[in-house]
Amino acid sequence: MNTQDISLGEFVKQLTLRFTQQQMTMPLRDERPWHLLFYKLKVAADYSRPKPGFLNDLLFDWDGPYPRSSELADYLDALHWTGCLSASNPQYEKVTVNPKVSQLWSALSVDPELSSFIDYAVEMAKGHFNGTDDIDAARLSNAG
Amino acid sequence: MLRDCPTLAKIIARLDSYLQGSFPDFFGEEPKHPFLRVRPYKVIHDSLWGTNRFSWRELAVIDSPLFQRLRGIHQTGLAYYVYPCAQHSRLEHSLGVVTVAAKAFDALLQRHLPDFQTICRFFNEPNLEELLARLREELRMAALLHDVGHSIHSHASEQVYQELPLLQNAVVELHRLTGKKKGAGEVISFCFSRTKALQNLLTSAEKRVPEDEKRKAKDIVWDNVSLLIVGRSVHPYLQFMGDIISSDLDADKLDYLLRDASAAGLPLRYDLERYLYTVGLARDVLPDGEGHLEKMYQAVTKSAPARIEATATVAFPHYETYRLRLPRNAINTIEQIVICKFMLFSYIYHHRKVRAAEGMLGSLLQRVVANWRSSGKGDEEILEEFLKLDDCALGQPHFASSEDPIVSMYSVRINQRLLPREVFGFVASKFSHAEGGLLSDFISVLLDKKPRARQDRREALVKQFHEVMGTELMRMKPELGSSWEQALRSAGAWLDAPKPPKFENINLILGSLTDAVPLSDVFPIRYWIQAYESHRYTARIFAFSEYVDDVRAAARTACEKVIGATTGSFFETAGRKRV
Repeated sequence: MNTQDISLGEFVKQLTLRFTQQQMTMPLRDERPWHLLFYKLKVAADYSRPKPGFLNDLLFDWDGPYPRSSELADYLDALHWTGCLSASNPQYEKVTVNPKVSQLWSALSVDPELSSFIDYAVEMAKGHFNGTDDIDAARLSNAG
Repeated sequence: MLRDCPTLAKIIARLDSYLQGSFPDFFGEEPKHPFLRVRPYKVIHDSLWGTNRFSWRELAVIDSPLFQRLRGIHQTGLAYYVYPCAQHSRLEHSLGVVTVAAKAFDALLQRHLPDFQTICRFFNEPNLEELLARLREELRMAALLHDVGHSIHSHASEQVYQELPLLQNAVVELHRLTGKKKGAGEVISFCFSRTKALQNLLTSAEKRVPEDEKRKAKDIVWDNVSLLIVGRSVHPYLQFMGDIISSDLDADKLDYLLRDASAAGLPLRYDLERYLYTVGLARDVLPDGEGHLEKMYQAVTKSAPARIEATATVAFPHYETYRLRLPRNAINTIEQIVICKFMLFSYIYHHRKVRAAEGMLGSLLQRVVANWRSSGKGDEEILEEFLKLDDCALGQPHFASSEDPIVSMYSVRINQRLLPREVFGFVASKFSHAEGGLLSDFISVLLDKKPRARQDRREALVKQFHEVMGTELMRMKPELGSSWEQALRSAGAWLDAPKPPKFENINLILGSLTDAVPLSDVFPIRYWIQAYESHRYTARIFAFSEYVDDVRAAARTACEKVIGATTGSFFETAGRKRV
């Protein structure tokens, strides 16, 4: 799998695998960190290497307090209800990757360029998902 | 407004030429209709909302072929094959949305007059009453036109024409214009509202309106009408009007939930009166991080308001606005609406026979589109063909006696209700055994976003599944055709993965943006969605009755080879039990 071919869903799956490897908490009920992460990935100007092609097609709605991609929201939901992501906690605050599914996803071969972008995304997510870094408004203003 | 939207401009030009060319008496340069003097208003009675008054301008649209064609398009597609009473059309739904939208506007006006006075100060309109009358009429016109882009059997055909590159580009352009993603049907309605043809009709109607009524009638702002259709408006302070027409709890939803349930004979209800009693305006902010709204407002409003830069509390550049919001004490109404929506998906939209019928119709229309393409038609001509179709087309010679045997067979089968049967049904929660992971992953690929104009893993997987199933069918029944595609079509076999119900941005409904309370804090919405989709959402394999056994065997091979499922219990769980 390379940066041009990877779809939104495949990217989310590979990202959740990395989050799991790095023991990062993945929120579910609060979708905001996910949307902000993907928005930042889309507009990030400091990443000079090729980004996944699907990011260009990812549209964000400007109707709420943060940019929101309905496709991303739907897919996160789908991963949850299909059982790919488990939320055993009663409030659905965080999710973990189902170990059976994790084995299947790990089997996908990811080329070095894509792998490097996933690393970049994981680093960017660390602040968001741990709630220590809010959006950098100045950097994102008029990014489009 | 459409300077940077060549595709939208192209669609509008095409719709204009279609309307003016096909119905010159209504939409030409000098329309003959309406022939007689136009009444200032008429009363139309609705089964849900009772007696309602429509203005001369609305009546001119209602009495035109653009709107009357909705009479021939069932609101719930082919659901009447399961619920025989569900015969209601897009026409009555559209009229209903006008009524509900007007009720919502009036309810807001009644309780938020000071806010309306503040809003009106920005429009240099000294007469508040006249301005409010104009805004109300723009809102009603947008509600009236919001579904005119529909074609044969509503969303069943939208699934097909939304794949046209022309419409995919138009969706992206409209998003760049408004900062909101809308479906292909809404894009077409937006384009219809901007045609000169429609203005020709209204100019003709105005000439036949009594003089005193004409003096009373304010010119409406058509930019506002078309933006309202897609959930925006010409000024950020009017965003609440866009919310009434197209948002998570809009007039469209409030009408169709009750209308579909009522027409199908399902005892589902929500309390509109309570909704109207609680719905309110909230002073709020409208973020504009990508600059879409700034461009849009500058294009449509002479004195466009200034965009406010990001602050410590609002992380993006933004506009001050008024939004439609429900307070916490409206939770009962939201519960009712959410339950209604779940039940409608479960009972009607995702019913296996409805999916079977609409899947067949989708295959038929894809075939028809392929035939149009081979005869040299481009996207614009194909779009026009869709707009000429209504539900009767299935029984007409064009389809039923088509030279293409698949088109004619599917058309006849749908008309005679010879619908495919479910061979296997995959429900996520039923597959918790050792092979559960395989099925979870398989369905997750089926639901992945399809990147535009690229062959992706989803398409490859569906194709692989179909190819294995079709090849196996050919091996068992050579008479079904000489290719795997032909064998599948002849046996009416396909893998169906419907889109799950969407609850969009419902988290933001309670309160304002700055103090929004996630709905999930006070209502177990996440649990409900998860429970519904885990237990009720079904991916299915269908087949015509006479090939059920063959397709079951072929599908089993496909499941083994593509999903990797091999145990007997997997197929026992997925198999449909017949008494």
